[in-house]
Amino acid sequence: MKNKGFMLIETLIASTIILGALIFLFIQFSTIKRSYDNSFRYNTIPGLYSGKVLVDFISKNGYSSLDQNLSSSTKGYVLLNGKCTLGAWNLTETKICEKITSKMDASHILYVGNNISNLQNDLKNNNYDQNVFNTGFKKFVLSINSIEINQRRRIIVEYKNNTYAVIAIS
Amino acid sequence: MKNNKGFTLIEVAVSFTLVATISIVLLQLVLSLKEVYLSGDVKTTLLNKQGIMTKYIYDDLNNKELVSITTCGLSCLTFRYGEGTVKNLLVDPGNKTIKYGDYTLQIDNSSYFGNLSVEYDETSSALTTGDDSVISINIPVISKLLDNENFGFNIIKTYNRSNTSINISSDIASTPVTLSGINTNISIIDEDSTHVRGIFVKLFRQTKDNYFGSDYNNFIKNNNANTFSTLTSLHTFKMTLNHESIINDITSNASLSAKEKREISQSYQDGYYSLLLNYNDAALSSGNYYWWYQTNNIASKETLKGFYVGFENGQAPNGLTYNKTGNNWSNIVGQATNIGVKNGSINDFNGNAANSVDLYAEAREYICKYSLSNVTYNGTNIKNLTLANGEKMCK
Repeated sequence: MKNKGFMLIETLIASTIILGALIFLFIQFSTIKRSYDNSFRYNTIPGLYSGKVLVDFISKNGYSSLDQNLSSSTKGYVLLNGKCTLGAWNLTETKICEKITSKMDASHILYVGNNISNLQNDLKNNNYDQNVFNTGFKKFVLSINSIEINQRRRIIVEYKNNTYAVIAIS
Repeated sequence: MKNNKGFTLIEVAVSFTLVATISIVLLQLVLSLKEVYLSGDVKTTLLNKQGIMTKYIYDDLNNKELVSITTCGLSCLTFRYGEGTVKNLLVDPGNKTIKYGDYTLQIDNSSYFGNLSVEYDETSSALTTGDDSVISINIPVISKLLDNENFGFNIIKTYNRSNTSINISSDIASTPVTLSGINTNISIIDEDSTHVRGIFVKLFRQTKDNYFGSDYNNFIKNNNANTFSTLTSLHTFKMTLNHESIINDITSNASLSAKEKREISQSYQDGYYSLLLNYNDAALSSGNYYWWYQTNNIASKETLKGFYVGFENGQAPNGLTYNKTGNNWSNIVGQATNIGVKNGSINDFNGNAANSVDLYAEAREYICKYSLSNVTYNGTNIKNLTLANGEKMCK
């Protein structure tokens, strides 16, 4: 008897190849979709301008105390929202800073140095405060260049609408 | 010997399953790509507009010396800068635009403005140098297509109050409201010196010698300060306050059939309009007006039918309805009254010829949502007013 139809092994090989191709397509497509979504959430124009208000305030009123707090911090950042006393500004300046941070509608505002590689290593090694870093914020911090090329400090902001921004302090 | 050259049943079944699986995956891929394309298009447009306007405003605030911010209307602020530049920031919910200086941004039909707010804090000790105060202006733009995501504007500015003055208070009688590009005023029905019965904004006016054309669009979409009509702005006056009590009024109304009650109740689920009609420029405080609730938007051609649930002067208007073939664009069903007359005379609610007719919309929720200025009534911010029935103006 002549059986000229497909053998089971042939069918399995063919379906493996097709499924492999589909999985490859799916992974590629997911990566593109993720990058596409991130482009809407990372460093948005309103986020950058809003953060710049705080950056300008810090630039004008000095950040030596923030630097001291940063150098003594083991976490690699100073949490700014609601804690403007860390800047050691006078009472009015502290209040204005607190107003700015509350008006920014931010979940978390980090003051970091020009090199955040230690912070990024901690995030990669899951050695971080989960009250500060959710998955989205963690991914954003990991996507930032470790070293700021002009040696400037930066603030990193997570907004309540799940957008993120990093702004250098001139 | 029998020749078996065809496919076996198992081969056909396996092939069919494979083809079906691949087809479903590819279909999902195409559908998700389509969704990404559509949402991306809307999102990109909204983000572009948000970015352009944000940059436009911040460029002035960051690079120029801000001298003052004052009010120029209910939803309007005037920015004065050191070198003499003056720019208005105007939000017009009627035609869905934001204007700053000479730049106008129109939001798409699937988006709407959220609650506007301006907050400034001058409570800190004054500083001779550096900034001692902060102002924030929040104009949310909500997209219904994108899960009610906000594509609005949150402008923050620090300033020194010896160099910059902020005065955004304005008495209600002298506060213009811009609707679809036309300025109108806020009208109040007083109960007594401290309480109001209602706050209204005029949407439409017709005098006996000034007829609108025979075209529907000419009637609805006519935006002209002389032949005053801002009926296309009516959608922004949709109210949701006291929704339940209005539904109760409907269901306890003996003059309505069960079917009518059901239909009206359903149409009220999405909100309602609180409208007022008066003739011959009669003062609203005299009680010389109709005041009723209506479900449908007369600016929407397809749904032009209204029902009354409340009324004044012992009469019961059934609401405005569009009369396509008659001489009146709209009339109060069962009464001789009319607005938007094509020709002939305007009749008042007694059936007598009138010189003019004005249609107002209650602006209680409108003012609560769209105020950029601190509008006051007898010195009290109207958002903090208590109405004659004991309710708070804004909930």
